[in-house]
Amino acid sequence: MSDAALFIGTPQEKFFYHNTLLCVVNSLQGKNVTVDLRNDTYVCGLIELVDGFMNISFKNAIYCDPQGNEFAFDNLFIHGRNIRYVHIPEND
Amino acid sequence: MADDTENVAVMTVKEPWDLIRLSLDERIYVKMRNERELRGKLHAYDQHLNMVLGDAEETITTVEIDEETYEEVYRTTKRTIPMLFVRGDGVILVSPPVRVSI
Repeated sequence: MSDAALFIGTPQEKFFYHNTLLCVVNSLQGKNVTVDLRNDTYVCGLIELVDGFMNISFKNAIYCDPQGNEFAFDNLFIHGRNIRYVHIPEND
Repeated sequence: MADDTENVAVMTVKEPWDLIRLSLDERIYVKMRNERELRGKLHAYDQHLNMVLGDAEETITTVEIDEETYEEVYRTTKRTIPMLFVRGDGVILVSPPVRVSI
């Protein structure tokens, strides 16, 4: 099973990965999205990987805080619990 | 009654999830933590209350206290997002925006 290599964690993580709306965020892999975080900051970047807990790793991310400061990172990892919204891009 | 012969599909509402299921593809009102509200069209939901809302409008309510008069000033900030994924742990309640009598 190709899935066996993906999950080092718990069966719970695997359940979440396959059986919740997490699959929507997963489908956005490789796309440039904006993710609003719980601390009123937001991240714009390319979603590299999403795991069963909605942790997201970004490539070429820009992290912006409410004061307007922007920080650029080649790789950025966001803990799933800190996510408030994910802006889904419209595809034509 | 004359309407008895009509065939109407009736969905029995057995549990709270059925209530949300009735709201699929309808506009809903979502109350969230941190004084936020969302209004949008419910496209999808799951057991964590993660939701996908179309044409979502977010309203953030803040209270500022005037230093001179000490009165509370309520301000709302709104923004619209065409397609929004909402993480369920921030959701407090889900409701239809306008009460429709059945």
